Amino acid sequence: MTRRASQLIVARFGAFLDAAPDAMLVVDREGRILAANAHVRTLFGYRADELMGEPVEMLVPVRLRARHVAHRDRYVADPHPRPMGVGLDLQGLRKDGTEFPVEISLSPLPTDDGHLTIAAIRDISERRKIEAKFRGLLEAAPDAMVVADRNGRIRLVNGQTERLFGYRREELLGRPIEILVPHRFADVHPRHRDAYAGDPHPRPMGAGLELYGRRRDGSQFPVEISLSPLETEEGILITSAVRDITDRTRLEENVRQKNHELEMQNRRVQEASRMKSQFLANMSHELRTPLNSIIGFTEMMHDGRLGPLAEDHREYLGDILTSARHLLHLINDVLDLSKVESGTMEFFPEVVDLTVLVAEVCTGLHPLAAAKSIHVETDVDPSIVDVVIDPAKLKQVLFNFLSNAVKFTPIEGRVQVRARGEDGTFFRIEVEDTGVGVREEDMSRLFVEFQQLDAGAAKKYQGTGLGLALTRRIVETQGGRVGATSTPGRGSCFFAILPLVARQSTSVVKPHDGRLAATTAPAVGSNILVIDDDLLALRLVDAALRQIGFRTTSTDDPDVALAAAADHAPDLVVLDLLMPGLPGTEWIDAFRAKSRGRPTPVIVWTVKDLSPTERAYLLSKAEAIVEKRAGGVSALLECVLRFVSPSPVPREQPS
Amino acid sequence: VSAVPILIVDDNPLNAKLTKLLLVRSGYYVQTAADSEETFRVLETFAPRLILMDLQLPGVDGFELTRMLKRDPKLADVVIVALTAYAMKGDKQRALDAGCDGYIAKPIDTRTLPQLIQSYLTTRKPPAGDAVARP
Repeated sequence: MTRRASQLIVARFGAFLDAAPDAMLVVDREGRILAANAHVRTLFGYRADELMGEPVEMLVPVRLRARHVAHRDRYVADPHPRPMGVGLDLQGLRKDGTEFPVEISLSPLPTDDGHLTIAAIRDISERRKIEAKFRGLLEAAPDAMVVADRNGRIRLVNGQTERLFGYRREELLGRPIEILVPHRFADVHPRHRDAYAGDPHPRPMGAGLELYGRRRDGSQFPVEISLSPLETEEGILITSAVRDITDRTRLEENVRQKNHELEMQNRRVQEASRMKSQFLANMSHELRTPLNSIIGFTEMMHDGRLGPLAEDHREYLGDILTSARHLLHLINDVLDLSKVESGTMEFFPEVVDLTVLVAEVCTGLHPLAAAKSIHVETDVDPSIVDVVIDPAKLKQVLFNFLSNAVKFTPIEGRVQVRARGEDGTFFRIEVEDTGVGVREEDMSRLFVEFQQLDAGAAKKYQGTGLGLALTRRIVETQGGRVGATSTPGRGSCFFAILPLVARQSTSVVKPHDGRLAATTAPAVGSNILVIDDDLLALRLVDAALRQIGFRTTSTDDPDVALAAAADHAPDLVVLDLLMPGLPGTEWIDAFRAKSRGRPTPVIVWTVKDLSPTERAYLLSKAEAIVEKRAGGVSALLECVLRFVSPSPVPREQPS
Repeated sequence: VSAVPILIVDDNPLNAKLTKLLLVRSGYYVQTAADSEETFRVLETFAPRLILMDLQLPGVDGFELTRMLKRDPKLADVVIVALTAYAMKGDKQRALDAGCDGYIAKPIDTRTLPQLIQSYLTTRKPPAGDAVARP
């Protein structure tokens, strides 16, 4: 029966079997070989007659034969086409006893003699070798590598995957990849997978998704996943590299947390500082209000303006006054200190004549000095007469030095106030006395808050302990420094070194309202238009010109200046060369076009180093060029006076 | 010669009393008001040449009150001098912006205030330099 069937099969299918690319066998229900094509013979090393009618298990290694019979029986009971060997370890046995890995697909072949089975056998040794290499590569990868087919079945994993997810390899192979995904994402994961499989392309890690992996024990951890398609003969596989980012996430979370805390802390500090300043400002007002009446009434009684007074009453009223004024001074110093500390102290620099300022402060302290017969001398270097600084703050500094000097200098002593240039762009103002001096070990505490050198001095000299500290802060905030030298018993010299021109960065200079300020001084004197985008320079020139009796229109905007020139024709223009937007020379052209032949002088005031060519070109358009230098406003004023005259009203002298 | 009339607007009764005493002793005719309402009431029957305006007032403050008074053409010739603690940031500029003709810092100096008032009355302009009553 077998032989006849075999002959029939060979007759019917022989040509077809021999044309097939794989080794093909036809097997009956009992597992006997009915036909084998040439590939089978080559692959297994048998002749055709050695195979015919033999159990197919002769091609299976002995140790696997029993299992194979069981497989075969199951197939015969329910025959349908299926691939074999995927995920299974199928082996073939050659005649010479060597084994090789195979992949087998089965399909039923119904015949008159009943159901036969066609088996296609493929030697997958080469593929296994490649796979082994691939596996080696996978093992070498630092990340967990999971290879799945397009149906999401896991086909390959590396050791890192086992370690990361807690599964053994064989627990994963053939399982849906969703086994590694938390339940909450497991539903949507196949959709993502399908979408990817439909358009496979390498996708790098960290694509901004928050992804999680699930371990065997159900615990979850954040992961980063990169995907890449892998073309194989079985179709496209998808390789996922999975990286545990628990540590990094924790680190990032920590950093985020810390940043947040710091920000909150910073905000609290800022708020506290603002509250403190506000509180001190309010407090100071509240404290001053009652002091106003205390000092006022006492002063009037003490001076006998409300009637005659017994001498001892007068003395006690004097004591009340001294204490009240001391308290007031203290309040003012504390408030100022808090302003400097919180950066809310405002500076209003202007052109200051040092000779006048020094004289004013000395006059203020004259009664105190005269009472002790102290001779106060002043010496201001005329070359640094004009400085640009907040006069009130400079007075405060000098007042502090000078009042200290007078306080600590014995009767008939000598105090000298000097102002000198320093390093070209600074000036030094110093007060030297013939007082008690400062001991070497106390020098470092001089400019520190609430550090009066000895408690007795506080009572004797009525200091607040804040004056020098405040002085230091005020000077430093303006870009300067303070210091002192002293010989105990001989005297001290306190000094402050400040920029000749206060720097914009350390000063608050408010732009003019509406960016245009027309000064309505007496309607005499020439009208000068000043244009400069440096607001400090603008203020300085504006103030200097007004001081000597000019009317001015000042702006930092060249377009506004053109409009202003059209409204009221200026008698002279001072122009900064380096304006943003409209270059100086173009402004002059535009201005000339508008003034229609009126010969208005233009003085270019510039910080720019001009080449001879530039200079010549500029002088073809402007009447004069003056270089901006530190405090060099006087050169500009001289130049202005060559062209126009100020009002005959004399310069206003601050009283 | 009748005394020059002055109105003191100050919500602190003791300070108002002090300033009044000082100015009365200096020969002025003085009335006081503690807030904006009282100011308007007093102004119905009293025509001051000068108003000393405390800037910190309950309700309508001195800045706003000054603006209101300056809008009244009948008060065009009245000199308004702000009186306040200079501690408050930018007060001086705000006072001048509100229309004050001048500015005197508190605490007042009883020895110089009468002269300051006198100079405001004669020039209607602040004396040159900072009108800080106390160094």
